[in-house]
Amino acid sequence: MLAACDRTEPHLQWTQDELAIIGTLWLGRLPEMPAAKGNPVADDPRAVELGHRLFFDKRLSANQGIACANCHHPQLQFTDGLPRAQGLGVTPRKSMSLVGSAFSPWQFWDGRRDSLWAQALQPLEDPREHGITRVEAVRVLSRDPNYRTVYEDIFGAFPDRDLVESLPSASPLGQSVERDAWSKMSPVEQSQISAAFANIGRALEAYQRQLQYGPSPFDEFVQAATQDQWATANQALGEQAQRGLRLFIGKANCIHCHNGPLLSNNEFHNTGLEGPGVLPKDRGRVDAVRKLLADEFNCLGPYSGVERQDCDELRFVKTSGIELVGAFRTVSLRNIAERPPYMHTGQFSTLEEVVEHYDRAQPTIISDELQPLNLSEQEKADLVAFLRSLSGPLATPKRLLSPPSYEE
Amino acid sequence: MEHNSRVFASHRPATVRTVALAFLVMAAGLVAGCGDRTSSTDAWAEVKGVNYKLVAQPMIEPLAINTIHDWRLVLHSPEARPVSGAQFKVSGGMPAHNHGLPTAPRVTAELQPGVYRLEGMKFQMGGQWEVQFDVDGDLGKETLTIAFEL
Repeated sequence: MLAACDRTEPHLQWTQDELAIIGTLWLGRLPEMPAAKGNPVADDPRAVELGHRLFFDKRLSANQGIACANCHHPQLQFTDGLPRAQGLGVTPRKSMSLVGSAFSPWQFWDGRRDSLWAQALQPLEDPREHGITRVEAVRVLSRDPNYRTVYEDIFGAFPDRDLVESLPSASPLGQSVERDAWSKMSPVEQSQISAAFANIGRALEAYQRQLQYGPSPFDEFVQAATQDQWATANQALGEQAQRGLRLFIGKANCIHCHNGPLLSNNEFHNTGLEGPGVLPKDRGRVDAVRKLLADEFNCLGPYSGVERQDCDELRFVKTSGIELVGAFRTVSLRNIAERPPYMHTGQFSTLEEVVEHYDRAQPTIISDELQPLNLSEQEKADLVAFLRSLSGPLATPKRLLSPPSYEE
Repeated sequence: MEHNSRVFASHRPATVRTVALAFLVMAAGLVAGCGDRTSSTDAWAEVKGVNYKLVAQPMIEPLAINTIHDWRLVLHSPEARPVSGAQFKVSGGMPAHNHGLPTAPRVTAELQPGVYRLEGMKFQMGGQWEVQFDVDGDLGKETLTIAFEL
């Protein structure tokens, strides 16, 4: 039997080497989601449901008005469209999208947390974000019979209700009065509250692991192109976007850091945002690594339950080196056109400005990792066209993209 | 993410840079259909210095970017006698990009005489990499370098 023969010519003549490189970016090559270290319930549907509720619960804030979803809005790619996140106050950096974050060994722009469950806890206690104390967060669950029941079903016994009620509003990371109150609690009380608090993070991680990217026109192109189906490939990715793709994997060097099926290596780079002769005020990774090592919720900490040999990223974390100064995590470029502004403080409003920045590649005191690209205006536009082809719907059940129905 | 790889190796005594001795043991890279690339890391890299011969072997197959993993190091004298009790300092990076390794790898155990476990190796992008081994052992200090393309 003769197979149908696609005689359509490709927009560009692609070499086998180029197609091989492009294939490494295909979403179909995404490996299985990494195991959630320190979270045995990360893929438990009960934990997903609890996390879904907690994610949208504004009671988990000092003013009862801030939920995780405020700064990680499902309709805005789980970020907020602002240059810097706004909770109770304004944070120093842009809210990061949570989509696909389960694939990263590091969380936040600076990687100061090494799991999604530990990440989910920090904004709760940050006075500029939710501003709730650790004790108050646990009290929210304690006072809600539904939460208590579901929690105990998933994690086992909840801390004694009378104990939780008797404690002051206390947190080791809050305002001085809250830290003071925390220091006056007994080690057993601190440990019980922190363990329950960690489980709140675990439920939130279970929910956040469901937030995944779906295929984009680019992925359709890859699938078709590698099977010589050029009519389909050309329809998925127009000529300009194909030219941009060739730049992305070649002259523009984007693929160095934006590699793999999520187009991110999840490592830290100083891309010269501060400009020549300026030392970055926000030192990024180099300061974060100290916080990471001191974090009681890290992989080696008392609440993770992870064997030492399974904490390699933390055990062998790089703690020094000039390239850590002013370095921030490479973001995924999937759906990037849907979530401006860009960079860690929203320095750029458009993708055109971002491309301009990398084209200029101004040297910094710290980093000469980037070299000017000398792209023509046409090439810059081509690159942007390619970046726009990376948008697709989320591969997340629809019901998880809106607040849960409490009547369920 | 998989990559094919090419390996080169060089050595230098602790203070003097000498002519690189490249010895490619094996690096089979082949391009298959549908954009797949595979490579082999069997007996991956060997470098002969003045005082030592070092075989470096990644423990993942194929060697991949963005994956933290172990290596095995086998250290011999020029006469092929295993060298026990050596200390290693491991560093490296991408000369073309002026950055080092993304991790701080360490030799954490000598598994048998002359065979060492190196943990915490990781590469965050494709391209030309170098890994330097500062060896301090019975036969003196020497820096051995391998270079490879991921």
